[in-house]
Amino acid sequence: MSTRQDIDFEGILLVDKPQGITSHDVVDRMRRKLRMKKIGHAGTLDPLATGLLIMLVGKATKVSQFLISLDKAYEGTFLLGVETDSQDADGEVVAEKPLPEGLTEDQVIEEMTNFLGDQYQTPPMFSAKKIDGVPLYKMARKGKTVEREPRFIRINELKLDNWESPVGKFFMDCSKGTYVRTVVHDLGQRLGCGAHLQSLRRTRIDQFDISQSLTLEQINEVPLGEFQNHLIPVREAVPTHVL
Amino acid sequence: MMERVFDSIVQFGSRWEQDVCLAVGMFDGVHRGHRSVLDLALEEASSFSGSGVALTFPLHPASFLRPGKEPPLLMPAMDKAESLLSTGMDAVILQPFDQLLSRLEAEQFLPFLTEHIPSLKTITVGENFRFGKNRKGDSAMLEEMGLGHGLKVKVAPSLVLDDSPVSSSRIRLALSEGNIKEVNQMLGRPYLISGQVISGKALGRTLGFPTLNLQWNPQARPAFGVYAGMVKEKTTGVQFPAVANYGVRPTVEQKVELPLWEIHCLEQPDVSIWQEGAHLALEVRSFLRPEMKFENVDELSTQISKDCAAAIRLFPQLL
Repeated sequence: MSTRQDIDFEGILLVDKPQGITSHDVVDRMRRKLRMKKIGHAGTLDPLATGLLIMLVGKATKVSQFLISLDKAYEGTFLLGVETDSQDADGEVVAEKPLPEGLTEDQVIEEMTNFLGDQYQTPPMFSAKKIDGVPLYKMARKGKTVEREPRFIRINELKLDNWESPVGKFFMDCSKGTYVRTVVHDLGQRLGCGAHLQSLRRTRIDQFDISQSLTLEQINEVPLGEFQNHLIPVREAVPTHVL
Repeated sequence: MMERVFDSIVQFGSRWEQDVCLAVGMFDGVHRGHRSVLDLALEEASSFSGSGVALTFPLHPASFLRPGKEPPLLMPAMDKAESLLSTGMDAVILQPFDQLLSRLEAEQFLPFLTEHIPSLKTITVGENFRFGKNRKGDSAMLEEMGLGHGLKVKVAPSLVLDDSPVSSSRIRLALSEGNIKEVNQMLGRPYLISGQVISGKALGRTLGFPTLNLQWNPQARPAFGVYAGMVKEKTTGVQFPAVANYGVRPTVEQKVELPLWEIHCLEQPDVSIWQEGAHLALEVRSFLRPEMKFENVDELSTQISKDCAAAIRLFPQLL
């Protein structure tokens, strides 16, 4: 018989991250729950965002490079006319402008189609990306701006699902490394009135769908002895050549 | 595939351990001329049991230097990476052309590469390769500089077809004119479009020609019109001859929409075998006619029947 401490879990766990906590907070909770240190996640979600987070448990951390690089889909809302320093609702308002007169749903959709395809995106000042070892958000809080190199991204799909001026509900499918709030910010710039990201939910990462995920409450209720049943074996989650 | 595609020279250099022969170029289209540069790299790499690696940009440098003036690309970056890997390259580096690179003088180019890729042994480029600030460096200068840096530089001569060199810009022109035959000759393989099936308005089905719809819009668009080709499901490899319309559907659409590929399988009229979201690729073999606006749906329908017949007649010689 093994003691509880001896259980070495291994696999991929799909979690529905709640709003208000960091992706790393989820890692911490999982570490406490599973009494293991070797747990990571594949792709940060901002505190404001909810939805699919891929957790890597045990030896599964080895395939993080592969899982990080997958395309992702999001649902979210943007608010036109209000710009914030962090480009989302967590930031300070830096500008408020009226919407262009008579702005129609079709005009918003047309502007959105300009974002489709391959492009460079400059990461926002408020981001976890590091320059010379210092996260950008730490510099941003001190009021510093640094030159950021544009990164290559791809937007496969960007749809307006609902429009109730000045709020738009959208769906976006994009490559890794795409800052959704920056896309929203840039959309605001193109429309001339500014915009920020109000809410965001990640619904899919390649083949993994939010419907397969567990909430933190559901995870808490799983007895440790049954936990392995909720983990996707690594060999089922990634192509064989990655292993 | 993704784990062999790197985001930058720095990222590649920190993870790759084998000796490297680097093929450098934009490689848009991965045409026959590019392949002689790539083959040269693979040949060199195998001579020292190293890796053949392609260093390229995801977007044209001009889109950074002169936004709005860049040539439209034949391939989205990931398609290009996939195509480069399928030629046998061991890895692909999609290096964004950024501030740093734009300021790099020609003289700093090789030191920059060797600093970030310590295992670099050989470089191959095409005859018309230019590098460094203001495109000051050329292939002859690179060969000379290689000697000073202990690097071997191999230059592949341009490939000539019908009296002029094969180039991405020549392919773009032929593509915009619907000259698929010439496009395919220069590519050395059929022009390929790929994407996921999206839901349509099922208009084709009411006309008796159900279609699979793909939204695939590279910067360099093919001529709007009707094409014949082979459609293939990527995971299973199942394929059928097909006719496909690329365009904005002037007969049935009121407002201008993004161009769409509507693919009608000739031997498999039941399109439900491939669901929304299925990954399809279409090898384009022949251009049948330009897109037209018809007076009514009946006329359109009659024309589609003729297109199908024309495609069926063509296939024995195409396949």
